[in-house]
Amino acid sequence: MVRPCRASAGAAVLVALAVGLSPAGATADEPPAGSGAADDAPADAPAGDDIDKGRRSSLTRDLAEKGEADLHRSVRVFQQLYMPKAGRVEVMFGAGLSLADPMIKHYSTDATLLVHLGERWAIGVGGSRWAGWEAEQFNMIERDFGLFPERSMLQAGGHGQLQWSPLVGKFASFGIAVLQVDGYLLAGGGVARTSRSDALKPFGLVGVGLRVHTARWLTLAVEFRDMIMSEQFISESKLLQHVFAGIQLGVWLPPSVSYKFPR
Amino acid sequence: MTQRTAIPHLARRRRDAPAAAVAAIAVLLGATAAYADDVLEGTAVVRRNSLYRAGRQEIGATFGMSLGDPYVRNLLPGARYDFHLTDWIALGAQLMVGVPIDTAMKAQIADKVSKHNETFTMETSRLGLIIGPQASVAPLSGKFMVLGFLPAQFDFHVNLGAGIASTPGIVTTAAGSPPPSIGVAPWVGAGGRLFLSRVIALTVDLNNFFVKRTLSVDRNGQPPGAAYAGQLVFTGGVSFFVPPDLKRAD
Repeated sequence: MVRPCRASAGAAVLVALAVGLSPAGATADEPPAGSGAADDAPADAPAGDDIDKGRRSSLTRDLAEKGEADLHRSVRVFQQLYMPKAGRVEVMFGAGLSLADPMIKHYSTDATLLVHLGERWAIGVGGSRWAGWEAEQFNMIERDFGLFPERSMLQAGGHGQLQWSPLVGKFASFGIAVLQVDGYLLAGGGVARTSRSDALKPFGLVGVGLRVHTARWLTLAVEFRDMIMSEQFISESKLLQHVFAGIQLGVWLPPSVSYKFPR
Repeated sequence: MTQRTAIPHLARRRRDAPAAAVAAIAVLLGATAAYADDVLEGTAVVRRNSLYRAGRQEIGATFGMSLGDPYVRNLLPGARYDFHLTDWIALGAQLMVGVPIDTAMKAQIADKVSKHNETFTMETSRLGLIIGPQASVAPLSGKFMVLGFLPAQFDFHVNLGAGIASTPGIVTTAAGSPPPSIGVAPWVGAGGRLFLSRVIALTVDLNNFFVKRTLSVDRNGQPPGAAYAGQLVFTGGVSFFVPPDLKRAD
């Protein structure tokens, strides 16, 4: 009685795998060049056989192409997100510079805590400190016209925001590296103190940003923010817009992510 | 297990040992060869991508607005032309014509100063015309999906140009001659393109034009000396690309 030898069968499988992995392994699709395979056909084969062979190979090729096209239509390939956001917390540290105000310039520094509810939505809270100074145009009005403009400089404040990321993409630089990005819109509001009084004044906030995913736990974003608030001057109350351009460095927690695939 | 059955069991393992060793060596050799022959090693990260700019001409209509103006805001409709030598560098020209809109500050200053000087007229300069050649470099280009179903190509580019800017508006003379109203104006900036299709793209640019001019006269109606100052201009526009066919990278 011959007993089955499982160990030998396993060794045989391993050998077969090794041969397959080796680059020297020959494919069985085509006979080696110059092997004279065509010479194997009998010299006196009828012409009709050649026509049938040609028709069958053409039909086979058409069926293969059709099958491949159907396969492409039915199979969808999705690239994994390099940095999933859902369920993670982002701590952002940012700095900015005011634009579009000819009289008063501001630097801003801020810190924001964002909770990403999903891949598109996030909510957060943050605080800002501003440093303002009179621009050359402010001094020019005093010098050229003898007038003294009223000033309102931002000092400190806090805000809440809602972010929506409608677009996700990637870019390359001269084909050297590919980085993934997502673009977002933000809206919110808060309160701020200005140089005119210690009272906290409410403001609305809208903005747009582009977040570059440099690592799975680190992002760099460019943001434009517009703060809209009402300020009371001696002569009148005016609606002021403070437009800021800045960068945000985001640290993500947890720092690593793992995909869970349905089975 | 009895002694009688244990010995044949051990013997069977020893007989298989040489075959297993050969198999293991063969696997290791095969695995080593496979690692050394990584077909993607040393290749570009992006291949055979469509080149949306290389060898194409871009003709665009733009509309801009100056930022940070104390006395006169300038609306700047214009046009641009670029020839993209490669996918990342282009040479072209830009033209903008200024439409002035006085700010509230100008009216306030005129009102307050005229109370002390009845002959005071608030003369200010504006951006009349900006024209000149420019070069742009697009170091970043990529694609994204909007709302998960709308694909689009985009690029980010840096602009560098130099041309002529006219700044009319002040006619009062100082020391016998009015301040210069035409001068050389270099500019630098950055922008982006969003390709809606192979031939149409939306463009946004933020350029800083260095223009030598006198902003306004003083309380005595005299213009101070002209000086170079940066003038931020934000423009948006639509560009058309020809020819419609795209080249592919290697």
